[in-house]
Amino acid sequence: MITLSYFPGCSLTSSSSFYDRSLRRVLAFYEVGLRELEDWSCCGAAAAPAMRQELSDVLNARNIAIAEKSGLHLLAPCSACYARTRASALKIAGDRSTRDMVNEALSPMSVKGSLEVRNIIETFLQYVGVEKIAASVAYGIGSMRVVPYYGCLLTRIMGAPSSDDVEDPSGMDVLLDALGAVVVPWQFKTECCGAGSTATDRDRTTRLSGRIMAMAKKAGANAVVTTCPLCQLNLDLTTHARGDLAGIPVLFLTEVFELALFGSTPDSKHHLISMADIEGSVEILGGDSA
Amino acid sequence: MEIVPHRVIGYILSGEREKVLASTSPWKCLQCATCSLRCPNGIDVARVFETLRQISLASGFAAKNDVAHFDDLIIDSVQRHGRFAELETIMRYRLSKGQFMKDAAMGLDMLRKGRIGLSSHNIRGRKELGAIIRRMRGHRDR
Repeated sequence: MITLSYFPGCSLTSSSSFYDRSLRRVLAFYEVGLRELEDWSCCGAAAAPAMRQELSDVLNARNIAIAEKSGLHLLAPCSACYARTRASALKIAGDRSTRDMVNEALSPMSVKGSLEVRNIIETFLQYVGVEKIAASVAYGIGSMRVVPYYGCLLTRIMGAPSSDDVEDPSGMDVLLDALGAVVVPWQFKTECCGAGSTATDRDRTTRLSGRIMAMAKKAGANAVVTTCPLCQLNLDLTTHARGDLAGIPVLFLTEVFELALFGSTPDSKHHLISMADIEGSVEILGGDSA
Repeated sequence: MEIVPHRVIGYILSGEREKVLASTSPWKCLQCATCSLRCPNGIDVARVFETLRQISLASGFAAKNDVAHFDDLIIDSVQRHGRFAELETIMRYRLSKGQFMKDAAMGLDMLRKGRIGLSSHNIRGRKELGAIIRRMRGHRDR
């Protein structure tokens, strides 16, 4: 039994709150405790560093300071929160002028940058383990042909090394395989979905996300799996522009866990592209505690 | 992109400051960092583009663009609430652009499926954090 500090981030408390609920259900099943960061604030995503680097570091330092007081490792499931928090922590630890700057700005809070930050894939691999995951599967999801979609910020983090291969990450592949899904090889694991440009330039997001969904279809997948709330939303939104790509739902990794562990997820109604076919194809495995 | 990345780097090397800072290119970059990963000359292109945004804003050369405007509204939200209030920020953006009906069908579907955060949460430390953000936005000189 391990307890992690938990930074849900803005998306998981609003447009993707069902991801937060799904993640909590699955981690509770594996007895991974979550202690939500007390009074956490926004990481600033891409908006803060575009304005001023110091602003980005101070925003992240505030959350890091709160997390460091707990002495626990920090789980940040959103790719932007994960990348920004992790990069800032390394910078605060390694660069004295940044450390002094953020400590002065946030005083009386104090921050060292010693925090260990984990994404949800690392959390499953390191704190639960593939054997335990494979042994806990109660439902057959072998009819799921999934393409794992990692996006940009899980592996390409400015100023921080990646824990997975940057060109061909495999952490999520391993988890999906352990859960019993068929992992379909494809080339678009780390392509960009269009990120935060949905509000300002929707055509571009549609084009980039549409390419990814078209490739998923071409690869023969019947579901795309991701861990990033913004990627999930952008891919899910393609339903409004690309009728030709209908029928390939975009699931959060923790929702695939729910299908394999519990047979269903209570929050599937939040998907813009219906995952009813996928849910309907889940099979009860004989003998196990279903 | 108005000026493609390798030409942006070329103009920087030849000192054509205004040309680079006034272009829309830094704002078209999505910061996916694929170019940084694959650059044969080891240039962190995404970092260069991010820095160009900062310098062009601070120097007043920045081309009028929607991305900087939207970023500004996001930071505004964080300054007031401590977090990014989705609906409020998008409504402010649409109002400022006079785009009252843009993407209405998409917005309705998102509302129906619970994919837009309706309420905004105020963190307890928002006053202290807001004061820090206000101060840091005040002097962008570098």
